[in-house]
Amino acid sequence: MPELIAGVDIGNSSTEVALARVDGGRAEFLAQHLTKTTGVKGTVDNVSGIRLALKKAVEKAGVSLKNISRIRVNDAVPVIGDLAMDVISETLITESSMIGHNPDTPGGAGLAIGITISLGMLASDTEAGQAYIVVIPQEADYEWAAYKMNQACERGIEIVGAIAQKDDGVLIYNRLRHKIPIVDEVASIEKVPLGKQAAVEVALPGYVIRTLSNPYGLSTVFGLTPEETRQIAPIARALVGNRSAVVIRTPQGEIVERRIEAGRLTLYGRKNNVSVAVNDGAEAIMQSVEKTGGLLDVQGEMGTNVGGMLNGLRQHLSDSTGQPFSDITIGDLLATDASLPVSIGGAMAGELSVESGVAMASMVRTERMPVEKVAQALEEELGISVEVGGIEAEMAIRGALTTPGTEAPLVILDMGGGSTDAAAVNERGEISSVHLAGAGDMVTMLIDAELALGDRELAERVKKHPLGKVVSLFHMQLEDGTMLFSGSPFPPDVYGRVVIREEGGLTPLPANLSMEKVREIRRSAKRRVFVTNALRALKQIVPTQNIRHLSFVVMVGGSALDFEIPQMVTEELGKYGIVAGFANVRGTEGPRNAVATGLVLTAAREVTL
Amino acid sequence: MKRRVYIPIFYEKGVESKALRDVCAGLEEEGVPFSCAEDVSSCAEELGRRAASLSPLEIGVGISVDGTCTVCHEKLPQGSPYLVEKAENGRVLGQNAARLAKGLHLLHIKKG
Repeated sequence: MPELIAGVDIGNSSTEVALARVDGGRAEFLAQHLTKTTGVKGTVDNVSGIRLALKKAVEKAGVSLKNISRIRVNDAVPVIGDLAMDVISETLITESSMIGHNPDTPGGAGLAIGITISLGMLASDTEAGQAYIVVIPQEADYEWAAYKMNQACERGIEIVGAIAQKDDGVLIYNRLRHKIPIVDEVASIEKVPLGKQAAVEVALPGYVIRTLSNPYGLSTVFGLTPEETRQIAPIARALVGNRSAVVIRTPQGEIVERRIEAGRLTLYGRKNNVSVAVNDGAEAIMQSVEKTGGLLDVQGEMGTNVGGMLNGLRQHLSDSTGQPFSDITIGDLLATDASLPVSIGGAMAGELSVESGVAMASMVRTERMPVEKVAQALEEELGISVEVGGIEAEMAIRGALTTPGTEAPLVILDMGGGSTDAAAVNERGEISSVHLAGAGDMVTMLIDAELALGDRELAERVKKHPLGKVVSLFHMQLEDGTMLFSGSPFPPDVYGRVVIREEGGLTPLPANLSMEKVREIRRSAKRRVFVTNALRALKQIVPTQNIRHLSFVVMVGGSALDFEIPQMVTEELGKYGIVAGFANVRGTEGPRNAVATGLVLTAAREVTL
Repeated sequence: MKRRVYIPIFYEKGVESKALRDVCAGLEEEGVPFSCAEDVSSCAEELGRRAASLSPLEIGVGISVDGTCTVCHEKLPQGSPYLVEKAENGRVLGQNAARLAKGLHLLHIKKG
């Protein structure tokens, strides 16, 4: 007798349903649906999401919920992932001593060295033979400022450069009889110390400053000793790539780059315990993880950044799983280097410095997920018999094997939001699986931090969609350089900007970001997480530890839907002679619905047996 | 003969001189040439549209007596000025007219 069976896969971020009519061991799939998981995976909160997904699926299939005779729920993998990130270096300016920024329209060009003086003091407090750099506050109109400076010039006062608060560098420049370089849009101009030696440099359009971004340029300008040159070197480095800059020498002022004591990680493993300093960077940490021969737990040095980071992770995981803090052990760790733009303390025009940081994803093994409770609650609510069916890895493999052109032995890579899982089945049908920290959420975190978006939602959209740059009212340049014509004009809020191209429309990104930079960071974040994890996962799952011994790798899960992640993995694994691609479950579903499909198929097989 | 490119600014008779000065300053700061002309009385959009239709850059600015400033583009249909601002934001409007010609992202009006 035909039977209507629903397979339900509760994932970290989405709940999927597959609905099929099973008759004599044959399954005819009627419908599927995907919805957001409600609540933390494996808790009773999931029920409302499951019910919604089931309702949608029966609607699509044109049947009634009552017709379902059995619901099969996956036995969710008891792992939960979490993320943390911190800087390990920091640039400090103890006294305000530099301005380095890129106003769109500075005035003039060239290098000027002189003593800072306010516009108001120009008439009274000047002496002959001294070069001056005029500081112009926003109260001063450009006509007035230019008039005062021209007047001073006539009196024989040497004005060599200027710093303006408003965006009127060009306006002032155009009105000066004696032309000088002017840096404008300096927001906190009141912080510029007066009566101090300073240098102003403005480069021609399309060029970058050369003298102030060179430590020896600075030492020449200010006549510094070798010791002082060493101290001032971080300033030069912070100014590299700017079109305009000001450096003011305050005797006690200095800029220092401080290495934060990021602390040490102690990794407890099956074979070895290894200790590694976080300052050594992500590569050293990952090598240490490998050396442990299977991670059992990780501890961070108390009272350091990394100690705080790991404790925060434990606390969060303890809160979300309800397990005591001390029982949380970290089963895997993925560390990756990150370049984090951080605003410099004491900056005068909102300057950022790029600090090095480490991002870490960790995975915690929890006790068995109380899926039975979810099943029970679901059964009570719907009045349909619910069973917990099989190990997730096995179900996923069964579903993935419905992809045309695949056969066992094969490995599936489940690339989700919270973790990257791999499962392998050999010729004898034996299944093994591994769970690794770091997946889609980590990519989002890296994009958010490295682009300094400060908006996780926006970072998520940067991750999922390609970019464009609106270059005219009717044209947009795409990432590959091609031009897209638009029949209707682009609105003012996206004009001239880099935008995220979604189906629903265009979302503008901050104006200081170039398309190349956003694309590079997006792709590198994906590579750092998913390519790294694909290799790690495969190495661990192949008994010989040599991934050349694999032939088929099938990618499933939400991140396998990404427009570029599967290609990156395909490309990388291709180097090892592996056929890798994203699944096409049942020949129609793409990389989605593998577990739900597997659940139904297992049920069908049970019928035949 | 080389044709001069500029953004025309058409204004109504009796326009506040500060508004006109601010718009011009915005264009000058961005380094885009402009030329001002008094036009027959009409609304800011109509002024901007006429300026745009005569503009070598297809972009025109209109300022009406009530202090409304517009940036119009020749290719846009009637009744849809690209940008509209009050006179106190004339500087930014001028800058944005110039940035439109340069293909640069537009500036936001600073609040407060």
